[in-house]
This record gives sequence, C-alpha cells and structure tokens, in this order.
Amino acid sequence: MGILLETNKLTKHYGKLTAVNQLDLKIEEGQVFGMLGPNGSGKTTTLGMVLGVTERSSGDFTWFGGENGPETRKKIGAILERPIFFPGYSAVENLKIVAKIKGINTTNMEHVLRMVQLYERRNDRFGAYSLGMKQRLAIAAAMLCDPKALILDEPTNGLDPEGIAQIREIIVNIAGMGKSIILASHLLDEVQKVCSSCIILRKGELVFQGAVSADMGTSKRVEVDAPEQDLLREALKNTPFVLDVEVSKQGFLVSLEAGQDAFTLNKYLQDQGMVLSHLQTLKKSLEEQFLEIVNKS
Amino acid sequence: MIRLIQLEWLKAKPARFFWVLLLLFMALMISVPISVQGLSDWIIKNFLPENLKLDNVNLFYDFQDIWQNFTFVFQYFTVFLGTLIIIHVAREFSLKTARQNIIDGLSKSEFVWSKVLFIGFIALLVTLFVAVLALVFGGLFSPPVGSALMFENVHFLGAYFIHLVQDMLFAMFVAMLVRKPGIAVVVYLFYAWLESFAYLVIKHALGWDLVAKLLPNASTKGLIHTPMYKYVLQPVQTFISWEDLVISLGYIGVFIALSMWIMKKRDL
Repeated sequence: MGILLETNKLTKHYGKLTAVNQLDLKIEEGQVFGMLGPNGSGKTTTLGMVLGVTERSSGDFTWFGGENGPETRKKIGAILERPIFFPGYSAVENLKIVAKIKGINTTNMEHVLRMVQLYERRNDRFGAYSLGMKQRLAIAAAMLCDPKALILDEPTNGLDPEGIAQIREIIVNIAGMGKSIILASHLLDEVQKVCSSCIILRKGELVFQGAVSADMGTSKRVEVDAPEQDLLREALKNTPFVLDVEVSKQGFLVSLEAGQDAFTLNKYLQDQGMVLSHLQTLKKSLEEQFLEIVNKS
Repeated sequence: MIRLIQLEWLKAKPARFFWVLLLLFMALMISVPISVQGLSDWIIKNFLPENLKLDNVNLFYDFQDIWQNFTFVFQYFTVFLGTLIIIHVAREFSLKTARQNIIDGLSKSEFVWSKVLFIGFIALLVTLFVAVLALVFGGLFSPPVGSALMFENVHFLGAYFIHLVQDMLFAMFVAMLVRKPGIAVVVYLFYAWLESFAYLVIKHALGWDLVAKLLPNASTKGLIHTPMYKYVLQPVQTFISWEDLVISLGYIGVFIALSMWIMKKRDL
C-alpha cells in the first residue's frame, strides 16, 4: 500500500492564533482513517490546506506519494464542514457542474445518485432537501469521479439517528470498495465504529496516532474492595505500582502503572495479607481515553 | 477554455436572476429606439431646413450615425450586466461554491479565467444583439445609403464590446473584493454615483482632463464620444482615440490581475 497523504511541518497561523502547528502526518492508502479532535482543534484547517482552499503559513504536503495541485484534487472526492451546492438548482444541475470541473462525463451520475438513494429526488431543488439528503448528495458528488480517496469532514453532524445510520452504512460500503477514506469527526463513537486507525488533534497539535482498537498507551484501572476498607486503602497507598486511588461506589478505583494489571495487583495485595472481596478490571471506553489524552497534554 | 465557458454556463443557466436581468436589459435596449421616434420628429420639425425634411425618417437611425448613437446610449444600460456579473460572482463566495470548486479540482486561476471568459462571451452576445438591432432599425428608418457607407462607423461595435468587457470586469473585481452579493451591488452602484460627481469636479472645476479620463467608470464610457451634439450642429468625434483605447485595455488588464491576486491571497 502506498502513501495517501503526507504532511511535513504543516502550519497555519491566523494572526496570533496557531490553528495547526508543525503537523507531521503519514496516512496510508486503503484504510478508513479517523481524524479526531474537539471543535477548534484544527481538523478542518488541516484538510483545508491539503485541499487547496486554505493558504498554509509554512510546511508542505503531498498526496499519493508526491503529487499536489488541482489535477490531484480531481482524483479526490471531498466535503469540508458541510455540503455545498447551489440551493436553487437540482441535484442533477449541481452534479453537472461538479463533473465539468473534474473534467469527466456524467455517465456515472445515475449510479452515484442511486447509491445514496437520491435518484428519485434528482430533479428537486437542493435547498428543499433535508440535512441528511444534503449530506448524501455531497457524498454522491464526491463519488462522481470514482475517486482514489474520499475525505469527509463531520459527515453526520446534525443528523438524526436514522440519517447517521444511513451515512455510516454508505461510508462502510465505500470502504468496502477499497477506497481510502479520511474521516474527520469530534465524535469518538463515529471514529470507533468506522475507522481502523486514527490521529487525535488538540489545539492544532498531534497528540496521538495509532490503531483505534489498540490500547492508546494509557494506564489500566482496576476497581477493588475488601471488608476492611481502611486497611485496604493503606495497602493500596503502599503498593509501588499504584498511581492513584479514588473512592468509588463499589470500593476503590485504582490506576496502575503501564504493564501492571489486576493479576499483579491481586498477587501483591495477597502477599501483604489483604484478601479482596471485589476485583474488576475497568475497560476504558475510547471516550475516556480520548478525554485523558486531550486533557493530559 | 471551452470547458471553462461551459462550466460558467452550467452555473448561470438555471439561475432566475440571470435571465431576469438579461431579459430586462434586452427589453430596455429594444425600448430605446422605439421611444426616441418622437424626439427625432421634434428635431426634424424645429431644427432642420425645409429642403432636408423627409417622410418616415428617424434621424438617429441614419447609417453611419446609428452605430455610434446606439452604442453610446446602450452604454447606460451596462449597469444591468454589471449587477448580473456581481451576483453571479459574489454568490459563489457567499454560498461557498467557490471553495467547493477548488476542492473539486478547479485551480484558483481557472476560477478567475472562467469568469473572464464568461464576461467575454456575454459581451460578444450583447454586441451581436446590438448589431442586429442597428441593422433592423437602420434598415427600416435610415435614408438609403450604399453598403460601403452603411458599415463605415461599425468600429463603434468593437468599442462597445471593449466597454462591456471593462465594465463587467470591474463588477467582477468588486464582487471578488466584497464577496457578499447585496453589499457588492450597493458598492458597485454607489461607486458609479460617487465617481460621476468626482468626474464633474475633476473635469470641470479643476480642469484636469486626463485625470478625469482615467477614472475607471469614466474611462469605460470614454471610448464612444457623445454623438448627440451633431443634432445641434456641434462637432462630434466619430473615431476611437488610441489614448482612450489604451486606458480601457489597461483597466481590463488591471482588473483581471487584481482579481487573480485577491483570489490567490485569500482563503476561501
């Protein structure tokens, strides 16, 4: 697999504010790649720079291992922030414009409209569409040129659950065709459901890059309890690999150093003469890990 | 190049404002020759010597004169085309379609060139329309002249074409600068009003002829000199001066260059 997108110290300043700071990215082809970060973390600015609409302050980027510029963008389907079309024009009239820009004929139009279930509504004004339909038309427009890569920025923002499910199904289908997809979102759940690997941005800086399913390099947490809570608390505080102890509903919430787990904790406490009545490893949700990563730095 | 004109056509064709302004503009053009009939009759009756009076003649439609008369008067309607171009260009920024165009693979200079070519295309259509109008009205009302004389002052059509291009490019520049269609139209119209005052002050109060000529709006109307003085037996310039032509072509270059610069400089 080749490289889809590579950035080298990509930076954008807005006056004093640094929206994206020295971003080094390397995204491989053929995967669904998540860009995660709270609002204002620089996701859209980064995508704007690599898509030629936001002038970069410094640094550079290449697509497909060395390309750049308008001809490269013709091979990419992208939606930034929200679907953009002429509101008074029909889906067909709008897609004709996209096809003319990409320098392709419109033979693929019926296929992409059917794929997003808008073929029946193809002659209706874009302005009369629901938000979900607008998003779907944007995906159809992005797929019109049979792109090598698809870039979606917050594709489910503001949609109802049914709309979200429809968009996700479309994304998964497109990923199944072997297309590379970059999905920017502030919703962890979304990235977790469709992406294989991701980055996390915070205030324009890269704070994490890796596989979505893997442990994101943070400490494990275990919940423990014993009949004699005061003794247990003392024992926990004296355990060398315990980072933090908090009181929880069912006893104590213990953060362990990396490499330690429930087994080593239990064994250590037993050696100290403590017998536990409750021992449970807490699997951190991506949500908690995300917040931890974002708040830590 | 064909692709860029086709692209603009796809953008303009479904828009209602495009057809409304264009048809209004054309309707005004047709209405003028019809309504000046009375004025012509009045001049004939009061100013012309008895031996020159002819039946069924409209002075303004005399061949040779008709090219300058028509193009001169029609210049005052170009504001409709300017407004059309402003809405056509500025809405691309307010709707953000310009941004999506670039994302889809249009280069920023292609975006500007497609507008410039579209302006040239509209100017050409309108010029042809004026040529047809002149031939029809001249054919109906001009005293018969030979075909050589008939087309003698046809160069005014060329001047009119340049005027249209220059004025619409100015509108495009304002649209790129301001980006909000409503405000851009107001700026465009207000500027024209302001400049007409400045022109009077500079030309007549201060007597700086060249400076007055160099004002953008004055210079787009500078190519075709007022032909009406001839009806009160004053001299009229019936050629297009190099000086005026250079100023107009210079502005055409400047407006394209400035639009290009703004487009490249700013984020979308």
